[in-house]
Amino acid sequence: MSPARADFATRGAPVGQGARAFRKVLVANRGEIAVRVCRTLKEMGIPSVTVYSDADRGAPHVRSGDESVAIGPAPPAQSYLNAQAILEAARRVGADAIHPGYGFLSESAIFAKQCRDAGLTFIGPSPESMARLGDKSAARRTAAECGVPCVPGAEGVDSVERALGEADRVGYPVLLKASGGGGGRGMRLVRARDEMPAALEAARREAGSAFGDERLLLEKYVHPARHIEIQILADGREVAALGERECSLQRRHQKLIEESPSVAVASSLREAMQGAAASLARAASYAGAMTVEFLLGPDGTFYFLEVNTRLQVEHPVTEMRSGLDLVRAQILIAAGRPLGESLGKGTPELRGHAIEARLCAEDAYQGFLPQTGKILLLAWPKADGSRVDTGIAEGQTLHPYYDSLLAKVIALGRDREDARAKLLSALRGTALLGVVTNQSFLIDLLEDAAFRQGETFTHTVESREWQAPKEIPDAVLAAAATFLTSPKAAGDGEEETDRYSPWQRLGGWGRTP
Amino acid sequence: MSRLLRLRHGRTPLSLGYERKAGHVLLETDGRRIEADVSRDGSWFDVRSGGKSFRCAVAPGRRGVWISCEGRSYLLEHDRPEAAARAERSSDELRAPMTGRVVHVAAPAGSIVREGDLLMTIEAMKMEFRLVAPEDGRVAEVRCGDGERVELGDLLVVLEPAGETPGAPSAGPAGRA
Repeated sequence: MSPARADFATRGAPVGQGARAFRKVLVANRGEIAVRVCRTLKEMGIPSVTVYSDADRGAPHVRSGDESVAIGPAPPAQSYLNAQAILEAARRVGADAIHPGYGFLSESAIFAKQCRDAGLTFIGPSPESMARLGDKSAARRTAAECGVPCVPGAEGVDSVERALGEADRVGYPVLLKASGGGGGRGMRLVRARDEMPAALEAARREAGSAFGDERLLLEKYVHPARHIEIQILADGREVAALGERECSLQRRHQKLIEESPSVAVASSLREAMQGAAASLARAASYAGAMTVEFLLGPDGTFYFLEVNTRLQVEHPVTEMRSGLDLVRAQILIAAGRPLGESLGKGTPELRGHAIEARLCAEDAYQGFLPQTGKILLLAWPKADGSRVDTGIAEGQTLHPYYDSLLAKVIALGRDREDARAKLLSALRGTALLGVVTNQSFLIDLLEDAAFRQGETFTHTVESREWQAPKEIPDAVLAAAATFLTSPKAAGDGEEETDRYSPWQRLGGWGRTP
Repeated sequence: MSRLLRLRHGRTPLSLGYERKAGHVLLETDGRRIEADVSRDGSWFDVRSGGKSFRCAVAPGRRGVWISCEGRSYLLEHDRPEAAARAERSSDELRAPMTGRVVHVAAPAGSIVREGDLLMTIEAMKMEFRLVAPEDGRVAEVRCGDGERVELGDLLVVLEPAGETPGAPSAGPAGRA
């Protein structure tokens, strides 16, 4: 079944008077983003080549391009992260450009340089821009030069005196964090001066035992915080900011729901954030698509977090509102075309409200544990105003080697409530069986009072216990019972010859007298 | 025709009395009666119950039957002894919570561990899962090694109370806890 897609007109001038931007583009990725990039290449009339690992032999992304090349064994280091294999594949098929998607090699300045050295265009920024903005500490320096504030704090906090001094400077409450790692271990919240000595000692001990590194950093505690990011398109000279996306609903720093606009961003704040993001792009003479991530505090102060020098997973949120195709823009910019060719006349108007939900193979009610298995049934919504970006198919087996993202469901509405209703309707119209996903949890989140009221913060998901629905709906019991008692129930099962199959032992059903 | 289905939803046993007359279905569960009209089209079931209509998708899998309704999926497992054992796995047998790869065994056999101590790290889909000791004890057995692939439900570690006499004399000082 093919995914429903909203009809969003692609803005911008037709591709340069018959001249194709590239002869052939290799897509160095997998899953939904490889499928997504191939779709735009097809629309632009550019032949596309996909690559696949041994585990992805039958995966849908392999069929989404015009050709496909095997690049190695299942582990990413030997395939999708294997720069040599990918460059060799590009050479073999005669590609003149590589689109890296997101993740994998997309933020590797080394790979971007290897592409250039091999005479290939890397569809993304130059290695120099990446080094300036992609590397975290270099990006913080660039931000400071541009007058864009980072979360105030200090590194190498090794004594109570030093910690007290720094805390007085940035203001309480503050966080003590392990320099050597994340995940909340070695982290302590300090609300006032008198809590510092004990907190410092405890954080240092925990950091030492968890990471073998007792070094601590101190940071202003921004709470409750929202994650707001600005989408930028630039061609090395001109820079366009395409509004914000709020991605506060996360768990373990992985986004679950993204939307635009943010309820917390008024037009003056938007202008300030767009200005800050654009100044970073200008400082790096950036060409391509990039996203600048900020933390937004309760008082409306925003702090620079990092730059993603690539296409973002949640880019469809911006596409739905702007009518732009950001992949097309990336391709045109990489081919040296001026920004105007991607944007059309002026900066595009952003209309309505868009929300995206990430469907992942994770058991949200069991600590978000990744799930594997075979997709036994798959059906996408036929709802209007929604779009599904996916790289999975019925019958496909999900492997533990890769990211758990299965699909993105995005809805565009007149306003936030309309978008929320459309997204809920699209999620309710989606059926995926055989693998536990977070689908039910996404519905819970969208129905939750916190989301409806726009009370979305970075701690919202993790600060609560999310319970699986206890009650099984009557309709489900009726359908299951009807199915199980039909004579065909044992005949159309998954892997019937499987020796572990319970369906060979269906004779065990009890029968009431 | 009247039948009794013995199923399990997560840890909860579910017995379901079932009777069907033409398209009309009568169910009984927990002393509660459910009436529904059910029509089937391949994997899809149109169910009318309690004055409302639902469209459910059904697929049989290895572990049981999967049903999707209104965007939520349910797995009803056939109530077999293995399923019961999995649901009530004893705290001293730690099983793989997901299919993946063992990155590192932190507590080899013989180790004395405290509640919350790291036993091993498993990796799947770019995520690391830390298997920790659910209680104080002694690692009696480790059934996997660094780099090994494990399947969901595989037995990984057997933990025993630290005070208990170990089976083999070479397994470390029994008196220490």
